[in-house]
Amino acid sequence: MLDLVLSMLASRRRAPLRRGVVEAVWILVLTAAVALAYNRARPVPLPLVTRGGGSSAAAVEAAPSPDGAASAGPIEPGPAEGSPAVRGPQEIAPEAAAAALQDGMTLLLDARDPEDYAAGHLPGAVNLPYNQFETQVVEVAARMFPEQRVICYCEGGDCELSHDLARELFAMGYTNTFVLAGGLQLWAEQGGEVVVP
Amino acid sequence: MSRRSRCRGWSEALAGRASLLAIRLALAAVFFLACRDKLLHPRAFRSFVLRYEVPGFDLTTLGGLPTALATLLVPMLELVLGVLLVSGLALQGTLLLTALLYAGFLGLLIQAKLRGLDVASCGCFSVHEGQGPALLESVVVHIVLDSLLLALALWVYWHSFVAPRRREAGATPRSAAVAITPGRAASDA
Repeated sequence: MLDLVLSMLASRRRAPLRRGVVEAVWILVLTAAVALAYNRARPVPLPLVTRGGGSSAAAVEAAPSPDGAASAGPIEPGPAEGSPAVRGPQEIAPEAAAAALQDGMTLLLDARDPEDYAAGHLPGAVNLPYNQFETQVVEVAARMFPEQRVICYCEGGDCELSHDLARELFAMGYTNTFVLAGGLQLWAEQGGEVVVP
Repeated sequence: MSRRSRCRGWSEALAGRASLLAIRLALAAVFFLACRDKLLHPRAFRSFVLRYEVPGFDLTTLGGLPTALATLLVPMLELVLGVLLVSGLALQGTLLLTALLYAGFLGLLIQAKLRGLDVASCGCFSVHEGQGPALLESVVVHIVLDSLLLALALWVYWHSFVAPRRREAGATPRSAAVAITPGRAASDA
């Protein structure tokens, strides 16, 4: 193997790489163009730039106190760019989430796979598996409005699916999106109802 | 016959057109298999890209632009290289990119293993953790597999573009000598 590579380098004068390099550059340029066009043609394109850079870690760091008081109120849509509200989805504590669900205007999204959802989920939750986001988000988004308050959850406090899903919805313009702190586990531990079909 | 020349003899014998084509088709098949899930589920693939924790490829650097570009470009490049390997178009560039891509994958997997990153499933063929064949998602298996594919790509490149030129260059002096001495040919006649 090493012999092969060294021989290729040694015989560079006899077998110039120039043509191969030029072809490779053209292939890369054309591939990039096709990839961007394909992404643009998707029903829900992958955003090239994450608005405000709201990562999961950032959301966790910005989590409110466990009593959830800071997150109970809705975030006004369309806040100024650069303000704390556009940095990404915030976490919401189970008690605050339970209070928010009382108004009937809050959409609860289960980011787990359908099998996990079928095994038990929060009352009224809609299943939008993050792993099938591209194929299912259009159907779910049809029942949402821009100012909709959305709460995403997954299995527990360590799972990333709810953060990933919330970040995508946030990037789509649903800036009133939250992540249920502690997920289904903490919800159940605190006495929240879990629907087991 | 020395061991080295025996090996070279085997290599030359295997490097027929049919075997070179067969290896190209095998490399293409691996690309087609690998790109499908990533193209269909870019968001899930992006979460795998993030797991490798390569500096610059996160969601904060340039607003996550490098990560998004890698997420979109890699599977499309796999698809395009697969098509080009089958068709034989721009083969020199295709094989160079194939080797570079596998070298890159290999580097990523090795650094992840050395740093002890949480990449139990490498996201190489499936972006749905635990749903692909466990053996095909193992990082160690992929280090071996990518090494093999890299070696195959370089081998095909060598026998398609370097070895023929070398043979040609080795044959040139004799033919050139005949060509520049027309008088000799005439006197021979």
